[in-house]
Amino acid sequence: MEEKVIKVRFKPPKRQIVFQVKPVTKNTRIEVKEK
Amino acid sequence: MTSGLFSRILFLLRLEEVYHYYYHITQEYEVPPGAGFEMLIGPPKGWVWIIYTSFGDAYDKETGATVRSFNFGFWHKGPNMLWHYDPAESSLMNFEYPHVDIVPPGEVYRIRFINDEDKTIIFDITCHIIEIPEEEWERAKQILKKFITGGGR
Repeated sequence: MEEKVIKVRFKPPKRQIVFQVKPVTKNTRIEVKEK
Repeated sequence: MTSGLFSRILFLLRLEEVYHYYYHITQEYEVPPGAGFEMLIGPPKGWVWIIYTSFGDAYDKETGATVRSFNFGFWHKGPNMLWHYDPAESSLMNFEYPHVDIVPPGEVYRIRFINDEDKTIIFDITCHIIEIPEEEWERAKQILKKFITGGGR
């Protein structure tokens, strides 16, 4: 099965907040780019 | 709640000198067909959030065309917001509506998205946050009680 890649771009805040992006489908990877 | 009302809440907090921060976090997602994710966001220990989310247009990565479809959308939920589905339809995308919730420490606001279209979709979400110390929250709630619901905890 082909891997699916979800790309996420964001600038994190200067705070220690809870922030998480996780896959909910099979064979899916999250690629985070802090732009 | 509209963004105008969100601005009014900010104004009232400043007027009443309730200690708070405001900031926002903008995320851009590129999601291939059949893929899905869940985003969780919540306050640091000792802080209460008033969170308001706004959504940009979704578009087809290949053509750049705006996507309007019931098959594209996301579920979301907050401590005082029930799970519900937001499709990328014009009644939602062209209209500001109550995407607001209170998030106490230790709790999170969630967005869950699965791309049921046959194309890769790009879209962005902004989470606007007013952050209030727990010890200031009771006073803030009294000031804001006619504007917000679900803040009774």
